Amino acid sequence: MKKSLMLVFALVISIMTFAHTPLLMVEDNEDGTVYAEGGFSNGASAGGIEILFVEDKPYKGLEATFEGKKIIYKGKLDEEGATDIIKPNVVSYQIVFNAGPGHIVYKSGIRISISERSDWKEKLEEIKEEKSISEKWLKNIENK
Amino acid sequence: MKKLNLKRMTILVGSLVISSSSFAHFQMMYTPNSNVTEQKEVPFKVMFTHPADGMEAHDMSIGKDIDGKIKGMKEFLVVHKGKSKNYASFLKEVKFGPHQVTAYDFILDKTTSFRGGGDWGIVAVPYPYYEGSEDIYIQQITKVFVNKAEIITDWSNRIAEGYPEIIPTVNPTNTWVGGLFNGKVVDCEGKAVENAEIEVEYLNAEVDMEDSKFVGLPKTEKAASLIYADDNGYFSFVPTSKGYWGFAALGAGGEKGYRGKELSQDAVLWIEAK
Repeated sequence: MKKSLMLVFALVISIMTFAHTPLLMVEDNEDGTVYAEGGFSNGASAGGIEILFVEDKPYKGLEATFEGKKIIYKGKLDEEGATDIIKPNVVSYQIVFNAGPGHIVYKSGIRISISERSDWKEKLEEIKEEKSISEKWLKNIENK
Repeated sequence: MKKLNLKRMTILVGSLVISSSSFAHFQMMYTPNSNVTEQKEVPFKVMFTHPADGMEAHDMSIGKDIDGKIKGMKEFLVVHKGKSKNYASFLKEVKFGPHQVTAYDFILDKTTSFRGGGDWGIVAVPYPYYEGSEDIYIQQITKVFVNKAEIITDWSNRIAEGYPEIIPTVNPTNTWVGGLFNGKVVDCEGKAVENAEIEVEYLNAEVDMEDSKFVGLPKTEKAASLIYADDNGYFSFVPTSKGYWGFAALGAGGEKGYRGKELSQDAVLWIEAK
């Protein structure tokens, strides 16, 4: 009896684990930044969940990696599960919603267009002044 | 004897048809697809019609009073992440259907709260329409949802505070043909409407968004039904065709009057069966 109850309990936990699919949407703000919003299929909040920019290729260097790819930027979604982030100065990258093992979503990053290059530079200077992004990530974003 | 019965039956059927058509008014807000994940803007056609009749539908001018004056839309709310804003001034007047009745176009875009992902609830509050055949006014508080990126934010909430409303208990942008759809009818104070009478109609035509009219042959004969909510205001329905289904809880707003006439304040919800 006890064993069957434990089995039922384990099954319920297992179902719960898989009942909320992680979701990520990315939009181009067309001002040098991207808008990223996360969520779960059961309506649970994505507030505070980790969001990353990673290179779009395997990396074997010494810098921090996520699933074998170099991390360009790492931050968190705000309490509404969304954030605006400055675009990295790279040709190709991926945006990752990391809600833990089995709950990771990748989306293609949006590159800086020629028309928004001056906006992007302005944003970068603002960030440097405000120190709102750590130097470690800023170096990767600027990618001189 | 058989002849007499047939005559009686014809009268009975005739009166039933008149009765059902007189209750089958539906305020609509239509957009081709309730999944708007790939869209930067979402166009809506806002019209007052008899959707189950398809191209034969009798359309009406929104908010037309007893004197024939068209007062249009009182409020047009866009609700996202619990925040509600009235965009009535963003409605563009258009003429709909063969009789060129007054309808509206609305674009959900960056200027009207369309940013990010989740559900957007659109709530129309038209001025009451005078229905001469019944000598009453009809006001249908109407709701429809669109969703971006499958993120769930608003569909299960009460979003038309102060008005009667149908609150879905199944995601209205992710309902399936042959699958059960449930909802709850509430009055202006959010209390359950016991045994609410609910007209159900299927949008039995395509909508020509550019020329503002219904087009195409009727898709099905099973396009209209009448159901009742239970003692707690809950009802169930199984959509039998792909497309939009409307639910109108008649008089859910309670006993009301408008300009000396009876006012039927109905709660309408549209869902898209996929």
